[in-house]
Amino acid sequence: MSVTLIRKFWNGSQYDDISKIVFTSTNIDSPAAAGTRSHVLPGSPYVGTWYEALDLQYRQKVNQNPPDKHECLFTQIHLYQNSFNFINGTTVTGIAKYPVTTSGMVYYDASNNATISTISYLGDTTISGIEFKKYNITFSATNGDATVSGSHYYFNTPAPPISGSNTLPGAMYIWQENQTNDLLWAHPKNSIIFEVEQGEAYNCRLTAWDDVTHSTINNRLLQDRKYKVTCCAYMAGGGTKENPVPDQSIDAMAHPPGIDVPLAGDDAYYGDFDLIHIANGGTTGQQHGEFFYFVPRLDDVDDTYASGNYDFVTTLHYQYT
Amino acid sequence: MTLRTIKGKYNNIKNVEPSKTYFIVDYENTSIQGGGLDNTGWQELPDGIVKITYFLSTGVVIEIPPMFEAYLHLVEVSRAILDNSVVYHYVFIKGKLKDKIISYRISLKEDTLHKLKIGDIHITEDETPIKSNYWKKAEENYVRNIN
Repeated sequence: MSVTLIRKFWNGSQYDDISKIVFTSTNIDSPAAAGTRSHVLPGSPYVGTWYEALDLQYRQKVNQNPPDKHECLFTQIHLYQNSFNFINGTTVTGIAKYPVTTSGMVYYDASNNATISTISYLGDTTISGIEFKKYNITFSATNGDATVSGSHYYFNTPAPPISGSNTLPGAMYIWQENQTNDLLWAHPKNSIIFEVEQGEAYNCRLTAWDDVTHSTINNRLLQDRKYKVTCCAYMAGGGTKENPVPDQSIDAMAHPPGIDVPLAGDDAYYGDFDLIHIANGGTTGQQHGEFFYFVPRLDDVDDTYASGNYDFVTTLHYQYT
Repeated sequence: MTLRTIKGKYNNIKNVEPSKTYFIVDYENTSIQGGGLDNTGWQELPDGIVKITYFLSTGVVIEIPPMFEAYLHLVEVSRAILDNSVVYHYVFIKGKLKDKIISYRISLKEDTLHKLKIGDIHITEDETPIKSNYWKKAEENYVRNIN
């Protein structure tokens, strides 16, 4: 094969082949026989997310709620519509330390905040064609936790100077492993996992279409942007094939993480990025992958949607040699 | 002419037959035929390319001008995550000149929604050069000094 992409999910005891993503009522014990569907009961949550193997299906999300914290596999800080002045002493809202055993931090929607105590510029890097400025930033969390710091932080453009009062829009990403999966909204054990086992896949793009022609989106769920994914693509720096630990090098991330990204044909998608097989441990002897993870969900599909079939197709577009 | 048809609710696609769509790469003393689109064999090709010719299952034959320093062959597909259904969109032959890369995009599909036909070629200059370990060098005597 020119490129070999495998896909798996964690079924609670091992990684399994996935045959369907199912959105149905959560009023079913998990695991259930493959093909089990149920009506939403009065007063109960609407549809949740299930992964179906050939024999059983496994519940992953018990409702349609969006990520309550903007988290995925990497600890990260997303500023989104927020902004802050990039100078020492600045208080950054929406920050909390997590988890307590490592130096990582993640963004919370809650009112946690931290103060920048030191900043140093470490150079530039380009990820999927996006230029990032790399800084080493030390935050002091103001929630009483110990000072947290790290050495792999990236701001997307336009990058601010080290001092001054420029306002920074956009996102900041931190390369840091999360140790405790169950506190994250998206992690290796509730994601659909792609791994490049051989070769190279270029310009990868995750999206959704209404049918097998991969060319139209005449589906109300897609047109209403109800199908969303949280995802990231990266090179592992250690761990196992089943639970890869993100590498913390400058090139570890194949693409910035996507948090609740709607998918709808060429209008809304996650990508484009390259997935390259890392052979023989890469440069450190411990690197492997690359991996692409995503967790799908339906967003706020309620009684305004008539009963019926809303099937659609999730696709990965890519190029190979 | 061999085609596969994909019928949808709002569109019908005619796709080349992947097993009968392949390249032949000429070297100074031999030629190598690639596999189909699913297993092209490009990665195993040696350097020293003289010329690339592409054969589509429709009978269309496309010759890439023998003037580049190196070549890269890519197949663009969209693959359904779960049932592995696949649409073959394009073949790209990219040619490296001294300071730019020229891309030949060959259409592998036609449908009822777009004007593009199988075998249509779109030639562009790449704005973002693709990083790949599988560029294949040309035979030096066949590289033209064009920029």
